[in-house]
Amino acid sequence: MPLPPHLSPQLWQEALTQLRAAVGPDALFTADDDVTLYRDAYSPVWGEAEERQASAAIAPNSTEQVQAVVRIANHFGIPLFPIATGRNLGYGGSASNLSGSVIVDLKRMNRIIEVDDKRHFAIVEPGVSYFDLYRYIQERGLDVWIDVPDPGWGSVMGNALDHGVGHTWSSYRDHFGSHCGLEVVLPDGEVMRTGMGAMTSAKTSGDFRYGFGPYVDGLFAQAGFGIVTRMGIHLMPRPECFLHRRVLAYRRQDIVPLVEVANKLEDAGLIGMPLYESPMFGAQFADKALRDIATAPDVWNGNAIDRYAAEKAMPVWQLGLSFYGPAEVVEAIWRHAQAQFAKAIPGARFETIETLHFPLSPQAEEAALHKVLIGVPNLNIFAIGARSATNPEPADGHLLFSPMVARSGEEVMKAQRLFTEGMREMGADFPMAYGPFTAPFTWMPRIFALTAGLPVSRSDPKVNQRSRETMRRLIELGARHGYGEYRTPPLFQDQVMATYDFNGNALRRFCETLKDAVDPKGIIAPGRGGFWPRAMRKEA
Amino acid sequence: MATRRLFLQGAVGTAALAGAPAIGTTLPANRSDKLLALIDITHAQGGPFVAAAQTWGARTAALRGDPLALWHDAVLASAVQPAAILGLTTQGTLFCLERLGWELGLRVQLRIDHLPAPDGSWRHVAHTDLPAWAPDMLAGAGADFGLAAAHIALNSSDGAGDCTHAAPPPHPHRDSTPLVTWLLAAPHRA
Ligand SMILES: Cc1cc2nc3c(=O)[nH]c(=O)nc-3n(C[C@H](O)[C@H](O)[C@H](O)COP(=O)(O)OP(=O)(O)OC[C@H]3O[C@@H](n4cnc5c(N)ncnc54)[C@H](O)[C@@H]3O)c2cc1C
Repeated sequence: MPLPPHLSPQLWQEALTQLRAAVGPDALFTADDDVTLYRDAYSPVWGEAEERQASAAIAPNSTEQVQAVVRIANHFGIPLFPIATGRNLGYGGSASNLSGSVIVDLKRMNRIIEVDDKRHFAIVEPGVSYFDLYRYIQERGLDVWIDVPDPGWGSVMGNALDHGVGHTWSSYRDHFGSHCGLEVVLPDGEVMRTGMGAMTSAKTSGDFRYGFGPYVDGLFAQAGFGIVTRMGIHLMPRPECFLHRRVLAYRRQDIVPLVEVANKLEDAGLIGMPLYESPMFGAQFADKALRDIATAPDVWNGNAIDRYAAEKAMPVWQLGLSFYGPAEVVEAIWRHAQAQFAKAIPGARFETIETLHFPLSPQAEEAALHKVLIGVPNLNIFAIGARSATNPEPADGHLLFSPMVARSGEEVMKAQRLFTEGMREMGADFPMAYGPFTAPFTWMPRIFALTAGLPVSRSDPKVNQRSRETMRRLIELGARHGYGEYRTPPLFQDQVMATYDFNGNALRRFCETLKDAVDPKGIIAPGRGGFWPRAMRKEA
Repeated sequence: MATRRLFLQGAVGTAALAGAPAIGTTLPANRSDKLLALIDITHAQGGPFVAAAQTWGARTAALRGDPLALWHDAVLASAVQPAAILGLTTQGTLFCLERLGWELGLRVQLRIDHLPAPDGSWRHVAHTDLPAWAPDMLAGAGADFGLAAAHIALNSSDGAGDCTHAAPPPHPHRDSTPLVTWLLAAPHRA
């Protein structure tokens, strides 16, 4: 494994001795066998020179130990890379931006400090997974729900700090947006609390996120300004009932009113996450006639698609709607929603998918169709993961291109065409990445992600080369048309940050100024978020 | 939750495999109480695998794709911490279990991918050396390789090989689900 940059072997040994003393011999990992576990299993540069490799890993179990680790690292100039559970697959895993970094693995800090089911928040340490928090709530019969990402083994904090997302109401599924107050070890080893936590006597750090003064919490997400050791998160009161219903629309242009009505319902707080799909996405691979339609140059006018839909009675779009609340209320909202869709989309049809009343018996929970819609952590996504729409080729993992597209049907169709034709021009042959049936993802509130998965391989470097070249070009293409990435693995962070280019990259320059002031040596995750301290900047 | 676990003790009769060595294992040597088998019972090969593991005296637990709750119940919350865990699951499930196992110092030490072909036949790809009799036993079992796979897993010695981060072999048939037989145990360190 590599050494930290610019550190002699002697100083490295000295640093290791001090780090070991700070956390105990069992919590410092230097053997190759151990450090290799922190490689990114989805790395698009697996086994190549560009792969980010750690020098060691360390697992403190308290804020005090984190402080000690940071102070030692600061003394020796060793870059640290904090991870919570380190399962950021698709966005870097537990690998750092800079080879030779020491991974600060916070899994041992796994205390649930508080869950309040009257004021609806939790306060957790980094190692608390969604599953841990869920079980804690279930075992105590607490009256709150959590919002979970697809993989339920991730960290409530780690996910939020990379702007991770879930599947219920907009105010909960933006996980960083629903956090409330942080405790952070700064690059000099000092501890700071934000929001109401900054007031020693306050008991409201889980309630009110701003406190007083500048709201600095955003600096600790997708960035290297500190190691977060505690975080509050707002929780959803447990609803009485969940309805999952579906709207079916039979013309390509129907995406326009479909989105408009769904936006209105969602922004008024009447529905949870809308789930857009096209049944034609899968169908095109089973029926050559449909595939021919999808790949014809004039597909974008929608005529052939509409004809096919009419002939086969197959919807072009389907929209899943989630309703949470008292039974009579959600039934009434569903009736209201149907009336709105029926008025806007002639011929729209409606389906009942699922109705659940809470609390569920364990059997009913097991049988629930789409567990993440009801806040139940699981790993089902990996059972189907190798074959999902976003990762269609059997592959060892995927690289996600997730451009942010405005929430309108017109924009979806425009972006579909741009990326489909763009990939064709690039000669990038990923048949399932983009086409006229690519549906937008709605994880992030108030924006669409027109996400495509590119395959990665741990055995075939050619697959990776093809995917990362395509990824770089897609980032470029998207940015030229105003579609920015919201999240990306370390390999692409510099490129993505560079695309946020208003006023000569003023945003990046501001981040650099802050980094130079707060962490001039680049102790905490240098390069995270696509900006570096002066000494490590390329132009320096 | 216990209900998620669906323990299968006694649910499947013990099965015999002609020509196979008597069921026995070095895993962990004479400590069958510390042996746990996790099997995906969605697949036909799961039942015979369960039967073989039970015959050896291993605790068995069933899953359907998702191993998360089971891992907590059968491994983390169990009074007896398993010294070795073996199983027959999908590759995606093993991907998860491998990472969960790391937290307990366990590594994948045996891995045989089972790849279905459209004609109903299966190809078996091992990532470590197998006992000499194993390939023929697998090949002879056709689609009913669950019992053979369990025999091989139970007879492999822990520390046999390191399959950490192993890449699944290429599998071009999109509509079928490859399976994998595996063993998680603590690595021998120099
Ligand atoms: C099939 C599949 C489906 C997925 N679905 C989703 C999904 O639905 N939603 C979603 O959001 N993601 C999804 N992901 C991506 C990812 O797996 C999850 O976001 C996961 O929760 C992130 O890993 P983690 O929770 O272990 O966080 P970590 O890897 O621990 O942390 C993520 C990053 O946050 C920073 N960080 C973590 N802890 C700290 C700290 N204490 N201080 C400072 N910085 C810190 C680090 O930069 C770290 O790299 C999916 C991935 C796959 C493979």
